[in-house]
Amino acid sequence: MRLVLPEGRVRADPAERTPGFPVLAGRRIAVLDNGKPNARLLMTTVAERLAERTSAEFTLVVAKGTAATPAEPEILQQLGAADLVVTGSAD
Amino acid sequence: MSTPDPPGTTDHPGAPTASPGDPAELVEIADDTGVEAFTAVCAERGWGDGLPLVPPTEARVRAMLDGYTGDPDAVVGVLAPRDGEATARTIAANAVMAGCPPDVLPVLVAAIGALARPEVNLRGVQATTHPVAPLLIVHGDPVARHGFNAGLGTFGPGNRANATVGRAVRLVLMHTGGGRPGDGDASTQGQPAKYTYCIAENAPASPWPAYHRSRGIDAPGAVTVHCGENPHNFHDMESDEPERILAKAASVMTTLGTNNAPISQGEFFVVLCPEHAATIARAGWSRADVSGYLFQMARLPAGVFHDAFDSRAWAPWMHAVHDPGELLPMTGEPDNLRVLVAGGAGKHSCVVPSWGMTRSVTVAVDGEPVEGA
Repeated sequence: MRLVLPEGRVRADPAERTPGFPVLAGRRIAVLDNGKPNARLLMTTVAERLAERTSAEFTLVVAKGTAATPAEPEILQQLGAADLVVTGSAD
Repeated sequence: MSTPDPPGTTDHPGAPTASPGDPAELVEIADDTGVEAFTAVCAERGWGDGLPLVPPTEARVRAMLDGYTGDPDAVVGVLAPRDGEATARTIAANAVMAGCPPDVLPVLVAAIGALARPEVNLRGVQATTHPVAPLLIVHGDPVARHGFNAGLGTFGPGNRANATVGRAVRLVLMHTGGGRPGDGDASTQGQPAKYTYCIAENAPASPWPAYHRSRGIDAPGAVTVHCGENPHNFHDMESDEPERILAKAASVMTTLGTNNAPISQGEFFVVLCPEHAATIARAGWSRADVSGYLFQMARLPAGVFHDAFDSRAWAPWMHAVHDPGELLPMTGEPDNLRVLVAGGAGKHSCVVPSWGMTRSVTVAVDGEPVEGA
């Protein structure tokens, strides 16, 4: 029996992912606060400890308007000054 | 009754085979159409909503597409978070699985196209911890043509079109959109409306013009998608005055548990039963009068909002009020109060609050015959 698959194709993603860094020493770490409760505290703590362990530099905390929508272009532009961004806290 | 053979597949679940000359992706499974066998195949592939499904065989999908006037392989919409491309053919496969009648495909295609619109914010709708589900509302000629129930029990069970078209929308969101619970759908508790959530506007019983025409859609048929909560009932079995009936609606709207409290720009769909609507219209009220009245009445003191929420995605006008006694509306403008008529005899109506960070969309249903043409 042949079935038509219900999923459909996945749209090809034109974006390329930046390769990871072999070492973080000297790199700049930022936090994108998504507005969820305690997100800033949690992610700032993670970024600070990551910087301590790797000799990276914790340089920037920015916040987007709401967790429910993507970051605004001006926020992404600010994050362009960092090499690594910590984000993604949920409820 | 004999027990069916154990299900099996002739290929790897993750390795569908393309059919020469047919752009849709196909898969070969063991030739066993029993409910138990196909249910097991679905479980293996992560398909479905947990209820038994109809196998989307080539023949059934072809029948579902029969009479569809568009390109069956044109992309209707890209559905987040999987970024899956929904075509009429993939939608038809899901419609077959859901048990839809074959001629209803144009309604589904319109609904999925609407859900893919950027203002819906489908990525958020699918991935949030909130129990949001898209409510599909069918308007105009398709209601009678396909046998949708716009009357008694429109939100409830017992009608094939309502049940299966709503279910097909969910299956498309799960399969093509990738919104499976725990994987793309992070809803903390979920809700029953995530199985199926489809009603029809009861235009013959409405004192006002059809909803889609009030939104500027000049077409014989249309659908609206509104990503919201479950229906919040209100009843009034005694009032002859619009104000007294709508006070109950305003009371339902002013709860701190809905996202409209911390998010100040969401819509409310106010679904009036015919008897409430008739009483309100008899007093000379228009649809806009209902929206305007509820905008004025559905308010809470600013201090109540401030005491309840530290984390607020409010519009600037909400932040600007510092007097704790000042009454603030539950949403930013009267047009966010969307009024239509559905249901049958009795005096129960409901409010469907929005998830908040989304907008409803109303679009015409294309590709169907025009009544009387």
